[in-house]
Amino acid sequence: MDRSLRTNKSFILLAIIIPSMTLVSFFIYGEFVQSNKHVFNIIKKQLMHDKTELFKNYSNHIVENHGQNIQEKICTNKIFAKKLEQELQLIQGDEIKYLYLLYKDSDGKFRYLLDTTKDAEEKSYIKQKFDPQSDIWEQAYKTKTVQTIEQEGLQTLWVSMAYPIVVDERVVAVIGADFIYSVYDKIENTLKPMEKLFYYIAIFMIIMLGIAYSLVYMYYITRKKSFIDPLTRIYNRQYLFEFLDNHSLQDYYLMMIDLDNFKLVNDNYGHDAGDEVLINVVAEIKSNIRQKDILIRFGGEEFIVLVNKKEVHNILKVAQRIRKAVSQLSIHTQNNIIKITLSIGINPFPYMSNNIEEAIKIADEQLYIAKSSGRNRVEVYNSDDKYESQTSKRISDIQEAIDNNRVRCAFQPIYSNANQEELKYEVLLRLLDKNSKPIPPDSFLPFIKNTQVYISLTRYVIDTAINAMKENNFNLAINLDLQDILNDDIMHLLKHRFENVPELASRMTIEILEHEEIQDFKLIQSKLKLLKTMGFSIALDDFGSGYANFAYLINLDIDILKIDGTIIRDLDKNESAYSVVKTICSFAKDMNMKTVAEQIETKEELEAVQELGVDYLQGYYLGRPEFEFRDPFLR
Amino acid sequence: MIKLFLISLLITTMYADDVKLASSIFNTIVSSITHKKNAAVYLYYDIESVSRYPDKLQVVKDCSIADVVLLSSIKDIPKECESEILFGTRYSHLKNKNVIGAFFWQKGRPNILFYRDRLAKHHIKLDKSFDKYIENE
Repeated sequence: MDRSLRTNKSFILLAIIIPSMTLVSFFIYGEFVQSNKHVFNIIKKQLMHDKTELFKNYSNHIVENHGQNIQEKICTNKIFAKKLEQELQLIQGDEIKYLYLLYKDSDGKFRYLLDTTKDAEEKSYIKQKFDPQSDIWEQAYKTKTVQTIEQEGLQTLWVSMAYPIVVDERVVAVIGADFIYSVYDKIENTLKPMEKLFYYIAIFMIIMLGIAYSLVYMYYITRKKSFIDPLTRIYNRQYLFEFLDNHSLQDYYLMMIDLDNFKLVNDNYGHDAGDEVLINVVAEIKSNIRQKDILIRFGGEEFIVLVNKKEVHNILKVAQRIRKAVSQLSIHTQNNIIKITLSIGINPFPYMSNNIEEAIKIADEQLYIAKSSGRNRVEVYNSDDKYESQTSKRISDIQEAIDNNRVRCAFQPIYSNANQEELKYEVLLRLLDKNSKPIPPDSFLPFIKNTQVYISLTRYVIDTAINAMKENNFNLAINLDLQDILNDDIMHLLKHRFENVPELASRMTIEILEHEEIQDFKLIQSKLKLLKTMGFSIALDDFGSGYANFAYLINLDIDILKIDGTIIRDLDKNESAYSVVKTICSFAKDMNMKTVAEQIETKEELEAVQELGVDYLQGYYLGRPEFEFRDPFLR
Repeated sequence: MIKLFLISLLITTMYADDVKLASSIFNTIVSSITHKKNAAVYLYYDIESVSRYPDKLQVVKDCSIADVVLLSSIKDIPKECESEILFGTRYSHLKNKNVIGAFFWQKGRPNILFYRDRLAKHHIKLDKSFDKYIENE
């Protein structure tokens, strides 16, 4: 949350500051251009004003001394003309290239009277026609005011000025002055220091803006890089949280993908090959999803796909398409062709979870089921299972209990009917609530099935059992679900823990519980065989109720039958139950199996099972599960 | 370097514009004098604007077949040209009485000047638009 806030703040800051600086720069430039124009106009105006003052003096001089007859005098008196021309030359200055005096004849044509030009080719003669390029001459005659024009078409000339000499309200001649472009340059040069200063500021600002933009660019590149997995070039898990800052899970299905047996690829072909497999699988997944779907590498070989709900009506189809595509993939690495499959868990309602972690957990549970059910499968979370919505909370509660040492193992004694000296205990898992009150396994185990927490608890039970056996001479029995022995992690755990202590394995009975009918006896038998190879004895729990039936005894290599407690209850009063137990005991003897009667709660029940020849006895009447060991025969 | 190149380009462009403008003016003047669309002109010495951009003018190498002789100088005009219609390119060319008029640049401005008598001598009648350029000598 803090991270996203920081990101947003810095983004807003950059989004405001940098464009603002750019705009300010443009504004300053605009202001500078305007100021430059303004200053230029002031200088130009001043220059024109100065010259106008000079022309005014010259004009007054002509008017006072020569009046109306100026034109006639110049045309008829060459000396006079020369003198006036010299006087005119005195006011020319460097700014004016051509300075001349014109008059308008009776035909309305302008003609030269005086011309200060020295160049013979450029110099005009008295009465020579003047071809006006603009109407300022005409306007000066008409309005009797000074007229100026910028000579855009004439390359060497900048401004032309027409100054009328007025005698008795009549224009008798016009002083013509062509300002050269060098004046413009002169003004420009005057403004140069200011311009330079601006350019330095502009360069500084451009550099600063350049740095700012490149920093922003670098920031986003780095930021983008931090969200990209370097191997597969797809998003990493950091991006998931960034993504969810700005998007709602309401619009997505959540898919959790895990590559099956990927560890074997790394172990058998090396990590380079493993990397190749990941790259190829990612490419295949990408080709089976759309641009708007988000593919994230969540962990080593674990991926999350957020599938956009738009135009997707059946998420299962999408998942199956991905699964099928990857399973058909042949990945060529060096000299090997590797085939890989993946398992997918889907949470179609991630928005219903309190947070993304919870939504992922649900998908992860489905993934776990897919893995446990043989891999290369897709499992979809069904929201109709209401208790499931509480799952994550339960899981976190149980995890908290583990972290706070509120998980214990209780030990319930099992006696030999024939030889009371032979003693073993059944290890029973108990979770203590915050008030240290034990919670029975049925209240929490269903919620953590197929999770890592379940594996952790199993590990805890096994480790506790091993320690207890090391410290004491008695044998122990632990409970495992049929799904547990199909689970590679649990099988691996058992192998790992008992590998170096086979004598402890021989003192351990594994009581198999099962909650659904066995479909593949061969598979189960192979697992049981493996357990027996490790040295364990196998007991079939709750026999006579539920799915456990005689077919199991024929197909599976069982050592001990634990007769279900519901049959043992009221055995002394229920004749049918008595007959069933009798049959079971007889069958077990024929099959060379031992029998256990559990849930013996009364003296009568005990006597009945003893009479029937059940091999082992267990129940509250004989001994309750206790956290500490004690000899029940001392009761 | 780039700056230098741009300045050279600008000067060349501006110069080319001036030359083209001059050629266009020569075309208009000659067309008005001869009333021909493709009048033949003989250039005494070279007149760059016409030789580079003749446009509708036909530059000939023989004075006798020329409709108008355009002069860049009035010095040593070939005798076979003297009887032709001579047109100058400087104000000073008008000193030669055989030159009917001139088009020249003065003070950065283009100037056109014809003398009425000289036009009449060659029975030349210009368009009305040329009236403002015709002077009495």
